[in-house]
Amino acid sequence: MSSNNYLLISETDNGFTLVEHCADEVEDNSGFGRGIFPTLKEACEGAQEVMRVEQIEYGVSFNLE
Amino acid sequence: MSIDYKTSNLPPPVYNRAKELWGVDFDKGTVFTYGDTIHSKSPLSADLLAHELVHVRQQTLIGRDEWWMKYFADPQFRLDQETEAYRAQYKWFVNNLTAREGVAKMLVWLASLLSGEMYGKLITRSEAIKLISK
Repeated sequence: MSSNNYLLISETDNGFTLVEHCADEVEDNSGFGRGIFPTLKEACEGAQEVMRVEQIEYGVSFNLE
Repeated sequence: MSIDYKTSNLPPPVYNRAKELWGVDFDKGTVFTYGDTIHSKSPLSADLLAHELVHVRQQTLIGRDEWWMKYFADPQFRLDQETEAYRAQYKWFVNNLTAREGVAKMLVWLASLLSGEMYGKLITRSEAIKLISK
């Protein structure tokens, strides 16, 4: 048993952007993946709002390559 | 070693019991392995597949129903089985993420899951970090 409820957020020159997620509905209705957020905190808060998840700290993965 | 498995986007037969015990929610991303079938509402990421394939192998060894009976009843068994799966998932990140900082963050994230309510808060996050990275 495990959790598939997470996002992959990547750091860019200008901020952070969502590059991958597990929930189909995020891509369908948000356009979130095209956004750039100035801080990781804001990216997480944006993701939380879109996905309506309660424990985003457990639901975020990071790709800082 | 390749492991044969199937996938399903429907909850497994053990779902109601797991939900009753730990409040997990299939519709919000909880993934289950029942025998050789991985049940997930959304497509699996590669790291998660590595995790669940450990459970496929574990259940093949002792039998699907016996495994789940012990998983529900025995916290130490549950921890041992999940630790093995989280180590495989962590190893995937070690092998596929080049940035050390990213790997470290994934370790903390995995430890948060292993020590969380999903399994009945078996250990602390610090203990989980040690177990997964051993």
